[in-house]
Amino acid sequence: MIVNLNINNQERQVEIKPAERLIDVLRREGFFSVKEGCRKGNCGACVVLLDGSPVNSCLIFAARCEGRRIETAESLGSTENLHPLQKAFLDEGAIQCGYCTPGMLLSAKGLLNENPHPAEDDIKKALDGNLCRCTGYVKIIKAVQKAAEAIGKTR
Amino acid sequence: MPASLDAARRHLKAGNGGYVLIGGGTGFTFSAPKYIRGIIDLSKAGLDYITNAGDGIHIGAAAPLGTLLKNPLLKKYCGGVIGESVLTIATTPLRNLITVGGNAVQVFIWSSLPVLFLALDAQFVTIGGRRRIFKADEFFKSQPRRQMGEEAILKEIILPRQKPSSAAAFLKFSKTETDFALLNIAVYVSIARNKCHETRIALGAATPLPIRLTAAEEALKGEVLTEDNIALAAGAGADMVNYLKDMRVLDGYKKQAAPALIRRCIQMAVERAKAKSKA
Repeated sequence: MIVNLNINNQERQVEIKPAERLIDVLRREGFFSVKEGCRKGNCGACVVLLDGSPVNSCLIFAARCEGRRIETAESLGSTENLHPLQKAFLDEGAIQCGYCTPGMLLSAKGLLNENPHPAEDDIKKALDGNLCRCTGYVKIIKAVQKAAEAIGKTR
Repeated sequence: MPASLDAARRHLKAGNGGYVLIGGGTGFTFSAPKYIRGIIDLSKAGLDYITNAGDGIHIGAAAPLGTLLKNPLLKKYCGGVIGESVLTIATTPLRNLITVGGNAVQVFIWSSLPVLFLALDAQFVTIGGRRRIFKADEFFKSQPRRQMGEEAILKEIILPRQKPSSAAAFLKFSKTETDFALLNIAVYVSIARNKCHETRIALGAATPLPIRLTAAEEALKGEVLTEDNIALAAGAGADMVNYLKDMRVLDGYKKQAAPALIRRCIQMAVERAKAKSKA
């Protein structure tokens, strides 16, 4: 079957199998920032934004995303022009192995879309579905706070 | 992906028992039973509304849990108890997929919302089955799918209108915030002349389906809500339960923990109801 997906602001017609998961389709289409971790919605490595809200792409059928807007970490910025979240993650040392980072960035972006000035507790709640097994969470939370400040200054 | 409830019903009938309805469908992506020949996805059937009608708040079965947290009507309902309960379910990205109907129809022992719906005396509106409306007491007597009938679709859940001087509370007890519940407790209470006018107390994660603690309710009805009365009622409620074994804790642990947790949850609801009556 064919589905119409808006991936990172580009309309695409993609051929999928009816029971194919969104993560499999995105990776096949070349969006390798979307990582497979637990396959059960526990780790958050596969998080993407669906119509602006974070979801586990390992637990949603691609067919359900017909006509919807999907954002992966590839949409955030480029090496030359980093998104404030990416810059803050680098500056704060919030990355170690990097496997969780795309999901973390997108959960954080989902939060900042709705709440540009989050309190520390808001950030913790927003990242409750993203596990990191290297850095711990202190630097990640600091990075989100720093990115929120940076985005606030540019508005 | 049917575009209406009627279309979904037609698909379900055509499937002759081989098609299954999904709300968020999170469980089906990795563990769909082999007998299933097709999936009917309700996400585009117009069931994601939350509205205020004369008889209460109507929540469409396909409303994702994440939208329940943002809805202004639900934020105010019974002191914000809906959010209190929803936040105990899974994680942020999962709550954007899991639907309220899926959570109510497929009850797991650890499920949060069925416990709360039982305490709030919610009603369940179905289409295409033997009956149209189920009260929560009937709906959770056995697995709701069985109560509704295979040919039925859950359309919406109605939370009854709030009475004056009433409030509710929800408490999940688990080893970590995102672990499955060891015990879930929900309490609804209304106060009149400083006494308990009405209460509904429900317990989950102790038995396969959530149950009402009628002994606790009877112990409180008409009584002044003192700490002693609340503690006695909590003990009576905890005593009436046959707790299932749970590999995460020692046998007898839940039975010992339940009175304190039930007491705490009743106190939370009572304090909220008292604050509301003063306001």
